[in-house]
Amino acid sequence: MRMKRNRVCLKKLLIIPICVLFIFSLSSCNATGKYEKRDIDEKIIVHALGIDMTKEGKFEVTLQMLVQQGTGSNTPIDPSKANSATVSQVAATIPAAIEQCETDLGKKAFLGHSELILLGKSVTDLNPILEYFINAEGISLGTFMAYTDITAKEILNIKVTSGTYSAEVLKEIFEESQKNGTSTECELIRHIDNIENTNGTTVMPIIKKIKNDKKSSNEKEDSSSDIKFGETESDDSKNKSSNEKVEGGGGSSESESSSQSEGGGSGGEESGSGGGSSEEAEVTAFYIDGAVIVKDKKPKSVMSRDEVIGLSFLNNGIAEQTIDAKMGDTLTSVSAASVKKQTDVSLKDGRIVIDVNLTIAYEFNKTFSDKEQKEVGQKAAERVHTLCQEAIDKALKEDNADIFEIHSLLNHNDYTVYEEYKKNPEEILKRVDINVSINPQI
Amino acid sequence: MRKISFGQMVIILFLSRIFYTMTFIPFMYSDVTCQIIGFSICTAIECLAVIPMIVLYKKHPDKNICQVIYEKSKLLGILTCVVFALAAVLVINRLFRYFGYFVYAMFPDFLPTWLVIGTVAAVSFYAAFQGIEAIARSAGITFAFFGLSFIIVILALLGKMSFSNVIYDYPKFDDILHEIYYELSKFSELLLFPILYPYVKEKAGKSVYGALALKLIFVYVITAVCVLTLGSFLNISKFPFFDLGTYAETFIIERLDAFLLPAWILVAFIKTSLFLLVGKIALSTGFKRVKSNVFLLVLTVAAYAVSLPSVLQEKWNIGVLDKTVITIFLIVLGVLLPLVFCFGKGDENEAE
Repeated sequence: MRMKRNRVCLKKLLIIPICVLFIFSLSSCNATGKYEKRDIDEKIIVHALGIDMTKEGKFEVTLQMLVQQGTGSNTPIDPSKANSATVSQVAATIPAAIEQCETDLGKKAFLGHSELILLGKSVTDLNPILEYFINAEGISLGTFMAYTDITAKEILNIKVTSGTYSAEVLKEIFEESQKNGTSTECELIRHIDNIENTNGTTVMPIIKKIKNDKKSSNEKEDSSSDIKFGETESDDSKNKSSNEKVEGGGGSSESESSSQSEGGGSGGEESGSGGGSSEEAEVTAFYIDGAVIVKDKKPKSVMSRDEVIGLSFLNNGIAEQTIDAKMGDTLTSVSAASVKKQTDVSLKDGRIVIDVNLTIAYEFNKTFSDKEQKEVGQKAAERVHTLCQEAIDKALKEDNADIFEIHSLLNHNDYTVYEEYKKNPEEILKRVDINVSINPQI
Repeated sequence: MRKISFGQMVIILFLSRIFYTMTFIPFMYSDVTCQIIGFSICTAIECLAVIPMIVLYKKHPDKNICQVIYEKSKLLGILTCVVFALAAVLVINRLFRYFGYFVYAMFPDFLPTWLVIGTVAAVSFYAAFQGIEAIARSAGITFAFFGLSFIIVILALLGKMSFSNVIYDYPKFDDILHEIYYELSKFSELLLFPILYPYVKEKAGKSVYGALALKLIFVYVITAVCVLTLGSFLNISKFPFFDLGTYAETFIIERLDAFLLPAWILVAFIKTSLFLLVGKIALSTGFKRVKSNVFLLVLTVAAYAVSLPSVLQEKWNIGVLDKTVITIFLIVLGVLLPLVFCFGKGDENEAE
């Protein structure tokens, strides 16, 4: 009887420490053992990160985040205004800059929902950036990483009024561009994979902004060939481009206020007034134009839009693409509905010959006779061939860069050559010839 | 004595192995090709290594290995029991360190690692206190959850898999040998089966092969999915299995690592409670006068205390000595002792 009572007592006693430990676990206490309440509104949900380099070689990190006061079922939202805010800081390393941003806002940054990492044209070396993101806590491998022709800060400061938040719009632009081949694959993991396999080579799309008051929406601000990546811009131009600047406590601190004015909630990180400067109002959209070839983890050259489309055809990255075909004097267009790729690798007279056969199924945008369909198909095939050749000439012949998955083809087809490639990729790439043949399917 | 079914035994053995695959696959140490070859050879070795245990089970279906040895030699029996308990503590120590490393690497700001491990130890103690039936039922739920979450992640990743991500290297003999050894050190089923087989209602012998087959399938599938999806990122990833979750996305949910996380915690809890139970059964066989739950408490505290200095010093990976000691224990307790004691006359009520 006594033993039974003791057993019941012991059971009760055991339940207590278990419950206590569970409560400890569930209530978030920090690593030093102090209690620390961590509600979602006490974190910065970062949607996009921008990285620029200053003249002194420091990192200027811009975090674009969701303004939580502007969301929620009880808070009136003005859909004509964006609900994002940005904060920037300059430091010697990326984590230090992010930490300073956190200090400015008094909140911890959560990068787990980041959708975009934008590199300004001043970024000269990807090594510290990739190293940071490989080891960054909780960052999604599917985050898009791209270049911009201006500073990343300028792009992220633009308040987009469509979509749930600005970064979402930017991501959608990348996704759509990837479908039609105007953007290459730009997920973080793909860049890391390419760089690991090719001694630091990858290709990153360039995002630009369109201004609609000065030029028509079809007219682009810059041509990609004019941009020089890896050059830091002057402080004057930086000051011109930034808007709604609120000087922070520290010398180089710049905190950007949100443009969403909320109905009643308290400020949080919002310190400036709503609205926006004149430049902000001018910008209505972004577009992808060209790509940066990164070699040895450094930007090497810029590919044009056509060259990127050619590259996408060669890398089987096209889901839909409208191709122009000239029929006599009239210009018509067809849609490449599906693209199938067949590759063959062979060695001929010391050269590595990669034969790429693309079978493209067309959809016609207007009614043609059988003969016309054949003719238009042939013309479109010629156009695709030209685009592919342009991409090959640019990346392989001019820059000697492996952005055509040559390493993978060699690994699967000729291991001896692959071993040579691992030792000296430059030499092997000089021996590579890519022959493209297009097989149109009407 | 409450017994568990054949299926439950298979799941228990499988979950105790899959924890390592979920938590930590150090692809950075050797190539995927070497890992797969090493794993396949090791599984073949494991199939042979369990034969003495199965023979022992057929001869003594109602007595675990400690009881069999204790009846023949009291001193050797007690020694075996103590070594079993020690091996269980070492396995739990390894688990706690891997578990702690994951928490430390993925959630450094949220929780002190010692507290997380303490919680797992406490919950596992409670589960082991409830007995094999409670653990087996929990294991069933865990397996279902693990399977479901893994299938969801695979489906979400289908569009992201590409054969061009596969880059292989010619396997090196030394690397394969290292992989075989490393894989063998993780074969903790060798410790579980000789203690737990009397608790299985039927076909206990076949349950080992069932677990090995299940392990083979899952590890092949996980490795294939990792290689096809992550490509060369595998070489630098600390937690490839978890990375699959962070990369997977659907139209509704942006990342699916939250699906894998509970499964992973549950697997860790199941494995810890199983080894606590094994230690408790072993010690209570050797020291019949002491109450078995006292041993359970001692084992839990010992396992936690052994891992605590490493956790506090943030030394996550176990050393060569630890790995060697565990492997020696596995071979001695799981292969050599059953081999010695499987000869001779068996009990009357032979199984199957």
